[in-house]
Amino acid sequence: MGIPPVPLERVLDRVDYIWGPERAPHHLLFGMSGSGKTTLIQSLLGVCPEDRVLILDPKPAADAIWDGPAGEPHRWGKPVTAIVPMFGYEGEGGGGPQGMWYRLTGGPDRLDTARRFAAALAIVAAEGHVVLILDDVREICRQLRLAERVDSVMNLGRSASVCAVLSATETSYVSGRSQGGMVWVGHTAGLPAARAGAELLGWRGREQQDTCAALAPHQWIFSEDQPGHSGPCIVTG
Amino acid sequence: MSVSPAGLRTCGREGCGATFTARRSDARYCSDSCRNAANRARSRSDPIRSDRITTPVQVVAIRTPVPPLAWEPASERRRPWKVNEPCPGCGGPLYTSGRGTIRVCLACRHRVTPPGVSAPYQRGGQAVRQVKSQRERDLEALELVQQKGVMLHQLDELAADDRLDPGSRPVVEWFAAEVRAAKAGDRLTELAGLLPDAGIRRRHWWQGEPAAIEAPDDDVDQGDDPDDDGDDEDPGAWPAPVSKAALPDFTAELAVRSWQFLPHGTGLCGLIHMRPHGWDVQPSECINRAEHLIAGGAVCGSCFDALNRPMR
Repeated sequence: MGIPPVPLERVLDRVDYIWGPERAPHHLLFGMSGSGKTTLIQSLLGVCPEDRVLILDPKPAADAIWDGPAGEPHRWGKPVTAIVPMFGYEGEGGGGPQGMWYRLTGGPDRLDTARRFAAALAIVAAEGHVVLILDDVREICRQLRLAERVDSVMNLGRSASVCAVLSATETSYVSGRSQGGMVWVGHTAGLPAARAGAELLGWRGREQQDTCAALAPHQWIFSEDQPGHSGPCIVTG
Repeated sequence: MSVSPAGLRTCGREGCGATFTARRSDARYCSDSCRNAANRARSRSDPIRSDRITTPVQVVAIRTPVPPLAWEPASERRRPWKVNEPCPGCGGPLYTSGRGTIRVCLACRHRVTPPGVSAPYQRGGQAVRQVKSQRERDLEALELVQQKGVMLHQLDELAADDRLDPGSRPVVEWFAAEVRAAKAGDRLTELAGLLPDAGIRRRHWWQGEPAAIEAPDDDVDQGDDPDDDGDDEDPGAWPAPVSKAALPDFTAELAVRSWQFLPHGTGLCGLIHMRPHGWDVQPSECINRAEHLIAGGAVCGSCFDALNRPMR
């Protein structure tokens, strides 16, 4: 297949241009564990330096990839256990470039995690105006049983200025996957996963599946369908 | 292989070097084993037999120009843009940038909380702008239809009563029309509260004038009326589903099942199974989505179904 390779910086310029409530509000990232989803999310956050950002990290144990460098521990959001109303505007400051990034972390008590995440999603639904990062949306939807709340937030989109990034290792049980205006398909294992990736891109056929199956870790196919688009591209480092 | 003047030849296999008398003019090896060994060695290391290539062949690649794959969508850098929201401080226009999650007033020179963020709390609610899922909307619609059905059934019975005062009949019809047109359960609750004050009257055989039908008083035991033939129930009594006080009470069933009910208002089922499946293990808290209201809170569909199947 003739898919042009494009540097990540060039693709991020395009993302910055179209990513917003009025155009393409949501990203969907699909790739297996180790494919570079979190790294790509961090790249996407690079175009949101002034925005209010809430990262939902449901993993039972802290993921070191979200830790900032020495001297800047909250580069990727300040880890918190609860979100308060009007976070970022009132109360405790956050992390990130402008102190508006927060990272709600999960814990080993899944029931408690589900309650805290449900409360955070309720605040997001009420207030809007946030870039919402759902790192491993399948865990949030299926294990924490918050699929309907995720659906509600995704439906807000344009009306309440909610922009979301959904990352998933598989597409089943994933709310809002049909609303991904920008789709990133990365490294997967096995033909079924490659087929699922091709379907997310709107592709059908053996050659397209093989293209998805051949993606290496930290290599992505980016696709969007906004006016003026140039079709999918393979994102290179 | 070499040929000696006396007709003797030297074996062509590398490493052999034996001389032999050729029986054929093209013989090159001293024995069959040497021929086979030489052929095997040639096929492994030299697939193209150099001794058969007489003239070098020059291969010229034909290059067709391949245009580079283009990927040049519009990607202008975003600039801050004005939004249709006034600054709460000076009333001037607000600007936003990036993904549109912040607001800045250029006149006041500081960041402003977007009106949409503070609006839910200024209105006194916790989640005024709540987008419901399709399932939630469907469940609410079904509950509304059920409430309407019960109320309309009782209004129809009332309208079919021959003893209904003629002046009350249009009132009953008006109530029926309002129930049919109601779009939410709150409207049905309003109508239920209005009915006792609507002055609907029923004429008794001993009454010269129609008697006003009073709202039911739960606190007063009116006793048995010897003249009561049992068919003149108070038409002001509305069906149970519209009354919050009439929510099903499963206190006894909860006790039988060793379940605790701790509603927490997060939209999840509030039941704790103290002995899950009858085992003496850690209590298990149900975290399914709450779908049914019962006295004191809400429970999920599966727990609600279980409570409606009494244990013996």
